[in-house]
Amino acid sequence: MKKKVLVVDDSLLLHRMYELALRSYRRFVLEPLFAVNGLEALDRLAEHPDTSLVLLDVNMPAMTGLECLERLRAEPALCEIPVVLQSTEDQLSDIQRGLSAGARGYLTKPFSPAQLHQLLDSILS
Amino acid sequence: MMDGFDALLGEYALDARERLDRVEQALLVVESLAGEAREAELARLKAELHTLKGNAAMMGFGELQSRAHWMEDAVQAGEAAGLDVTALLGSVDDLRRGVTARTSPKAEPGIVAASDADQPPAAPASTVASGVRVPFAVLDPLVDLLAEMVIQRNRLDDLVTAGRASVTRGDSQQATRAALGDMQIAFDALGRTLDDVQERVMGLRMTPLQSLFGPLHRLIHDESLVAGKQVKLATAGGDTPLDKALLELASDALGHLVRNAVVHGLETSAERARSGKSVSGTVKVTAAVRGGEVLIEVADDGAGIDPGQLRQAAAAKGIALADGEDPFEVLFASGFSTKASADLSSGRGVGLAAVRDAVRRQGGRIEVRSERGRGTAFRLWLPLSVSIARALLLRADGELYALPLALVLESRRLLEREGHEVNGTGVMRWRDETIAMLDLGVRFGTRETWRRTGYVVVVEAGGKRRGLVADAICGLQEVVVRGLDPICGRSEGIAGSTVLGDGRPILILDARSLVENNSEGRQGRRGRQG
Repeated sequence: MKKKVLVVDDSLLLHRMYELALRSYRRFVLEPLFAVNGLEALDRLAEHPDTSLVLLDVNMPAMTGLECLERLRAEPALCEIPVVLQSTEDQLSDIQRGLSAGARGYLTKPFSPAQLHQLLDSILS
Repeated sequence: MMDGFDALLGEYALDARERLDRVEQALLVVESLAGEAREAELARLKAELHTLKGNAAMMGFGELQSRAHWMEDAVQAGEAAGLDVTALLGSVDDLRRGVTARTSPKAEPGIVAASDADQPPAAPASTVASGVRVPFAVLDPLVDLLAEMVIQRNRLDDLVTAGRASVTRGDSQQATRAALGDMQIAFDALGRTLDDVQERVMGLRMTPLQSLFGPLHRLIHDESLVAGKQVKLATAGGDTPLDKALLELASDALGHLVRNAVVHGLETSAERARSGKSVSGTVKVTAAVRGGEVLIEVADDGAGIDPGQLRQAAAAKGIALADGEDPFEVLFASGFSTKASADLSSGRGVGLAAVRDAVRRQGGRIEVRSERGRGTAFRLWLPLSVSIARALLLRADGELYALPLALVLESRRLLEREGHEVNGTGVMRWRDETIAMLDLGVRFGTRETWRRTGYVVVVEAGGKRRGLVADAICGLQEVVVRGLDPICGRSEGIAGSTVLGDGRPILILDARSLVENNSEGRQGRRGRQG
């Protein structure tokens, strides 16, 4: 069965990178979904409450990743969906706040498809 | 490079260039803003730099990543006291070069030119992307329309089959007429859908002129620094659409005209103060659709050009102006430059001649108006769309030719006594001048001697006029211009081909090369074989 993975990032190039990396994952067939900011992410999750994982950029206009995470946690239907934060190395304080707000893990840029696959292994299985 | 993302090199380059354009724009305006507006611009700037950095990191481009990081820090450091805009713009240029070096097919890895005074700045014009992104919102209706056309075609097919059967059965005339009526309705519906598709597909080729306005801010910033003048750029009409095929031409021409306005058109602050003007000059670039053309105007509020001085300068160069001829025309004469004149410095003439030639080649035109003390305005007219042209259909010796209207001055009947032979070439009088004639049949090898009667179409290119002679003018039509297959080689005098409503393919004449090339007959036949 396909597992839905929602990618939330304001860079469309990052969407394409995730798409490549998610489609080359072998353990499960993944269906990537995309949103460009936190608000859109909430809409997308409302349409697809069966999403298996959210990959959430910390640094975005129109609702940052952390705000979006808090909104997700407050939503009974969505609060169980695992969230992985994604940021650059210089935003570690945001990552720490995110982890204490309930994120399951984090990825820092740059990451390779192999690194993403490892993270998927640990969260999706 | 990180394993796995090589496939995205092209997309990375497109994305990075767009972001660098936005960074450049933000840098150019941010220090003219204050308070919340400045803060908002700084936030946008930092967000773009942050993403640039992250994307470069993802692609494994360490140098680009650290240069973007350096810019982030520099913006942060200058947040309170003011940014070092010139240094940051230098980094934008370096990053542009770095992106190109890393992503062009013959990329030598690891080369990012250091910020170097000898290095020419990255040309803003080079940011005209050859690729195009089509949003699904635009693509999807097209796919729907295509599906619609298939359904309509099938409906028409059914009706034709039914109509045939009806005729074979020998149904009443009334029934046959009804069937024909149904066919007509289905046919009209298909035609309407096709019109819609055509409009939308042509629309895909259109891009808003705004994309050309961006680099102008940078150009003004750099040129005014060099010229030691204070210059403001005002733009309007950025949403005016322009055919993508014309983008590069418009970009070059605009750059040239704006640079001219700063260097030659505007006065220094001191001069402006003396004549009671505001200290900083303004270059205004406006665009609009007028009829079937796009009008782009570049106007400065500088000293203007004195027609008298221009006449004198032209005379000194041996360029004669006919009575009543617009003196500003000499600005476009190749080789013309008025070093001696106070308002113009060398170089202007040559460049403008090249600009006008390029503009004319694409079926456009350029005009200039100037008022002493008030300023100078160049008006650039470009066709709205290049791949559909209005053309005269000419017939010569049974062959049909399409002649684009853009360069046609006049067409009329050729009387027997009008043509004269001079050194084997036909000439005729036309509006007080003698112009050479070119028989299309002789030119394309369908006859040996030029005809004395028929129709003549006077065309103008590069300042020369010529009378093209044919048997008849068969009408005026919109033709879809298609290039000739490269396998045909380059054919002088032929611009391309088109297909008529009845399916006949015909050649489109290249009026410019027919006017400018003195080839006739012999060469013509060679061209036909080639």
